[in-house]
Amino acid sequence: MTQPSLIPTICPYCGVGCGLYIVVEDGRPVGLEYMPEHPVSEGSLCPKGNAVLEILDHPERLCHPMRKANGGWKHISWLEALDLVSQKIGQVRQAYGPDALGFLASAKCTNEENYAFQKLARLLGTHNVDHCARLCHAPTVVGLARAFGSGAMTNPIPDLANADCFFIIGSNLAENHAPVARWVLKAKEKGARVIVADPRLTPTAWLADTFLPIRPGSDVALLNGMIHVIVEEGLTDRAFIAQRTSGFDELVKAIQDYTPDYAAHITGVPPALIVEAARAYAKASSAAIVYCMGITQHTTGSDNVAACANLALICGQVGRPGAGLWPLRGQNNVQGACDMGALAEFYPGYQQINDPAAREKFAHAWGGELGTEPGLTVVEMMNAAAAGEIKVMYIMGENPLLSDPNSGHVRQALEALDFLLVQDIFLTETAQLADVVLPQLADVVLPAAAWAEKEGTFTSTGRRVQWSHRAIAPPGEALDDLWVIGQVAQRLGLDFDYSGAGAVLSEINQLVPSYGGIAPQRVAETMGGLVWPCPEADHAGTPILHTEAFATPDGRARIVPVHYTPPAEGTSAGFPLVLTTGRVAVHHNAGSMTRRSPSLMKRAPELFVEINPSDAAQLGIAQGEAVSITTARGGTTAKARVTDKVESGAAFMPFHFSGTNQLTIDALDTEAKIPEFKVAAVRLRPEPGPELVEGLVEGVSKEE
Amino acid sequence: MMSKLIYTDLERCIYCWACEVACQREHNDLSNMSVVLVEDRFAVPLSCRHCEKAPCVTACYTEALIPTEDGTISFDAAKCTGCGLCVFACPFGVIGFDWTGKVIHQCDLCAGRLVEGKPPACVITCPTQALSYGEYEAFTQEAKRRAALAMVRAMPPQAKVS
Amino acid sequence: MMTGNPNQVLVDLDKCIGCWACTHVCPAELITFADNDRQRTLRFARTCSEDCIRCAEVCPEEVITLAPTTEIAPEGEYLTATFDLLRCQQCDAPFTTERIVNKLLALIPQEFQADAEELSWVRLCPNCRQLTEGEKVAKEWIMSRWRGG
Repeated sequence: MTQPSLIPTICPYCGVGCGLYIVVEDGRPVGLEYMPEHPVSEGSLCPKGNAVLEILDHPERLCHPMRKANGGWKHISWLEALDLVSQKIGQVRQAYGPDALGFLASAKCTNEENYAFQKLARLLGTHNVDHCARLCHAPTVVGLARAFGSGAMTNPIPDLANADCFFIIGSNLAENHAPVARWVLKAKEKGARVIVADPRLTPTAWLADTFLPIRPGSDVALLNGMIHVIVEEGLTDRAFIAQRTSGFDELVKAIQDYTPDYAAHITGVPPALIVEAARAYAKASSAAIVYCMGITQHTTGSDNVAACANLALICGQVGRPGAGLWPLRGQNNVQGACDMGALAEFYPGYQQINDPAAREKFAHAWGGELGTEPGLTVVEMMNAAAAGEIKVMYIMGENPLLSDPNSGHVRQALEALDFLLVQDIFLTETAQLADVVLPQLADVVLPAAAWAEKEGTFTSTGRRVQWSHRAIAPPGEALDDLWVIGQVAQRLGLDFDYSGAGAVLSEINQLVPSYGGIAPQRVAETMGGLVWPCPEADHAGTPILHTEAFATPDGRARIVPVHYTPPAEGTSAGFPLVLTTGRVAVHHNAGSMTRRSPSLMKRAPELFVEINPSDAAQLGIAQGEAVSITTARGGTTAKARVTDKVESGAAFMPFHFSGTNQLTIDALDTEAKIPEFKVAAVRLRPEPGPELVEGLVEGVSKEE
Repeated sequence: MMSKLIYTDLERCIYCWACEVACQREHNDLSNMSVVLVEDRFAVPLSCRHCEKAPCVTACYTEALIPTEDGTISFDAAKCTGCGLCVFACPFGVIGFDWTGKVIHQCDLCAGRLVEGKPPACVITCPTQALSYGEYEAFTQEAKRRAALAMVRAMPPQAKVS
Repeated sequence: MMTGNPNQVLVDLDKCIGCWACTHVCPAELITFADNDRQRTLRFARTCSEDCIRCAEVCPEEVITLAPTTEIAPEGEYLTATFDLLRCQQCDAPFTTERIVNKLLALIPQEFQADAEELSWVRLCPNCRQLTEGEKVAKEWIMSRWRGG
């Protein structure tokens, strides 16, 4: 009996990147220990982090490579699986060209794995490599980069304690990034003022001194309204504007019409509160804007982000302790997957695909030819698959059938493929449809290692690159994704011969300037990791960005005025309510891990829909009853939660369960290509039950 | 009073259930912590209060539940008959019944962790530091300090006084 | 199959309060309980062949005696006792027997049986006790913040 050891890992759930120890005894995970010395979490863990052990020894873990055969699954050997997979990819590439291939990388895999994956795709000749960041913070990557030159969180999470005013918009951080609330509370203790804007009265709103109940999709109106007040009342930071920005004059012209009354008309927020929020933010010595999906998951996502940036810039609230923008990234490694170029329009380090200098650099470093045009993004790939243009997809650690909007269309798309390869730790909905009657989707499934069963770096939402150590071996024949990618690459004639994650990271150090100094040994030994940019071996990392200059060519931030545009889908007589979607504390994204964790499922076992009491009364819906929800794209059933957390005319559903995305729309933001998960027009009925003829509820209609 | 207990700062509880899940993991899959939600707005974590004149101790005829010198209530499963009387004697409903082991379960302040110098799991895991472990005086001092800071801010518009 | 000396199981049903203690402890599982909406039914085998007295030992009311006997009751013959279940004043769910509640009312000092607002928690199920305590605590907290400003 050996002594138990404590292996330091980084939580596999969200982008906060909390540290925790896995207690290992005789090669088995027997417990979890907290890590009080972690600079961000200080030993805390949300309920998901507390339940991580439940997925390690889970009976449904994929343990063998499998191929679809005779309506079921057949176990095959790794050799057979890898040969089959590379053959299929090679054949299609030969017959139809490399753009008939589509690759979905994983925001849950390590930086090294994502780097290798996108390298594989690009060297095969296609830039059709993307991942779920497209569904969440693509507007941040695109929009904030345009404003500041860099699309990442400007200050570290612990720096929130230095703010004396918070403007939290479209973020339910108390449920979804719980340790962030810790730092907001530290600031609150010192007298900081908290303003929260959200369509729902969430636990995050409980922390607010001022709550702005905003209609889904009206954020630009609110932000422009606040900017109007600040400009009008002379509360701008004139020195900052003059020295560090460009474009202010155009903004002043653009926000002329966004009076508090006009903004109130669009947003539903009382004008007095808009004025109050604007003054508090502008007058604060250090003010923080914290935002998340409520800002990004819209057809106007990029505009929403631009408006947030504009607000911060005119008040000089960027580039100092306690002042900046905190876009809270969702997955444990979505920041890293973006940094590593698992995106259709970027090489690693955000060097653009259509930049000839970048292309030359990577072509030279990787020893191969590279395409000149950006590839297809997540939703675009589904459309191309449905149209027969993409014939083979390689999906690593992603579950688009659950996560993408308009599930009906996604299923069609995946079924239309000639060959679908899925590499995952569980047989997810994408790998196998939940309804046993329908045919399974993947042709070959490869079993992967979970976070504690491999090593490598993960980059948190705070640009914090942390090494997670391997605690135990993966179950059965499962292997780490890096090995699998290497094997496939080699069979396709590419020279991928990495000895391990360390070797890949060393290559990344050479090609991604901001990761230059994040060497394997160094980062593995540093509690709390290193915050990029960290360009050299002796560089300490960069907690706060834009302190002296912005990362734009002229060093100035760009103020780009934006105008309010209504969401893609407005309400109608047939679909009178506005559905918005989001998350709950005990579940994570597609739920493939949390819905298999008993202690979490116990607390949130099923899909629900929140509906306001007056709407419920009119529709004859009682608490706890089954409700059918329908949109133009499809329908689903959920359990009713009658609550005044949502305003009359609105409904809320979490997207951790199959069904919600049957309803959501795949209308995209033109620049960032993110779908509008946050607004759909719906109708609700008790189920089963007669359709109510009268009693249609007044909803939020599309405003001119 | 010298006893060290778990105290809650209600200003901070965000109803995330981290404490419940942590407690469950540390105690054979049975949580001794229960967070209830009042009017969809106020979350209150509840666990054994280690009462001074505990009704559960009064109800227990085998001395499985007894008051200790350090001012807490301790539980000895070996003496428990599983009668369930204490479950219904507790005014706060925070004693649970383990139908597998056929004994009760109650917050033991993570005795196993305390001997190793580690704080109770719920306390360290709480993302917002809503739970603290210590003596009453220290807690009330901290609570008063936090309350004094809170007093200078306006009331949130949603709080209802019914 | 007989192993030890058979015992007749004698239960004073007037004093039995319908708790669970004896139902857990019999090695041959000869004592069981079942609850429905209204009542708890306890079933005792009339004789037992085990050489133990665990059920008698664990009973809080000492209502069980085991007397050696030569007459073995036919299998399937039980002593049955039913107890009215008290229904929670708040949610109406049945949660424990009336007799257990009466015993607790007698045991627990009067002053602890109701809170400051004269609400008796004793007639609430544990779940509702939690919710009631939560409401009370939340109200106190709101009041203290109002006093502040």
